[in-house]
Amino acid sequence: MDKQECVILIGDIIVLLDTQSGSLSPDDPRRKKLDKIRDLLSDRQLQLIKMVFDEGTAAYHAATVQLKAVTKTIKESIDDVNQAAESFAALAGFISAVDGLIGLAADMA
Amino acid sequence: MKRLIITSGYFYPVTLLFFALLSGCASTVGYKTPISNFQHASSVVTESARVYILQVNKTQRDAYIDRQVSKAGQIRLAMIDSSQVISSEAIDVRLRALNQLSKYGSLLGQLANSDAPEKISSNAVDLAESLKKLNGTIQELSAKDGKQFQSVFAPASVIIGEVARLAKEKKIREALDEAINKGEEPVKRVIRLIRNDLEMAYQASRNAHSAIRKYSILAYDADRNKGHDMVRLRERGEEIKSVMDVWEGLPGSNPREGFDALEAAHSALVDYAKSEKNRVDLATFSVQMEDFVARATRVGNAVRQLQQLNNN
Repeated sequence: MDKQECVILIGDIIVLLDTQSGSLSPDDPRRKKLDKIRDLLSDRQLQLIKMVFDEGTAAYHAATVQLKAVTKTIKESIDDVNQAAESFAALAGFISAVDGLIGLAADMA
Repeated sequence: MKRLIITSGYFYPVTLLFFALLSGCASTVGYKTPISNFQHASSVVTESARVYILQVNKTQRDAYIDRQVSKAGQIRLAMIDSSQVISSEAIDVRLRALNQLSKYGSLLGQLANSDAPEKISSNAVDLAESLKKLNGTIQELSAKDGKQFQSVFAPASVIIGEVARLAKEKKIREALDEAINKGEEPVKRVIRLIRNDLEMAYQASRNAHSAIRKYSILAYDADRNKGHDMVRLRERGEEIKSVMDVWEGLPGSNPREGFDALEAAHSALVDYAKSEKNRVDLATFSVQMEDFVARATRVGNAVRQLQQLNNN
């Protein structure tokens, strides 16, 4: 996955979170949690857009593989109310994978 | 014998046209309509990108303000600045580069038509001068905004400059050959770079529109819970409808499609120039340029529609 695909992937998750949040009642505690994660990812996406990567390194490849794997788990669990815990755990993993990517660009700078 | 004469007479104009097409190396007659189409569609793509790129930062800004308002948070000017996807200097350079590509497309069209050498010469001078100014601006850009763009734009700039010089000297055929044979890759790299920048801008814009969509529903919910009357709730409902109209039209307005079409059109132009330029080659080229016009028009309409919806 190149940087552009990573940015698109993060965007897909953000849209998914907005759809989920916008479907919950305003006082649902999950809504606040989802919005917080969404805002965090939005900031990260903007950071990523402005960064330059060496997409040929093994570290970059490993980070994007992790990002893709966590995305799959999020998409499978987010619609299911009974899998809320799994879903939030996967989202935490997603943020950590995005941070890993940003760390790679910061190392280059 | 009579039949033969009639047949020869009947086919005489067709034969002439056939030989005119075959002798495309010496004549530029076959290019006329498709190059005009190329020129027109290039302008549509660059104009759509211009409209689009100028809107992206506004969308980002609006989304940040909505986000803060939704949680009654403080609005910070520094945060508004950092929410911008592309700096104003970088926007300016890309817009000017797009303008050069548009002028370059126009010059190609004029070279191919080759019916007004004086006009070609004066437009070539204009292109060369604006190119020189743009290169000066790119040199002044910060490393962050300009380094990558400079490295990609420089080779294209050299070729475009050379084409402009030949055109200025009215060496029309040489200028056309230079543009077609050497200009392909450097011009395509500039197209791809701006396309990728715009794709990033589109993604940021999609993110912002998704947020605006959510905030409009939040605002309705807040009014509903406060027990506002139906008039107020209907107003909120109308706002949600407008926001959803913009959201629905967003994928069609991605300028990437226009740039993909522009790149394909450049390849088609080169393929035709390298071909034997017979009737089939010309027909193929014409169809490709018509396809470019159709794709560019589609994106242009979608961007304009989005702009109108955003302004409502």
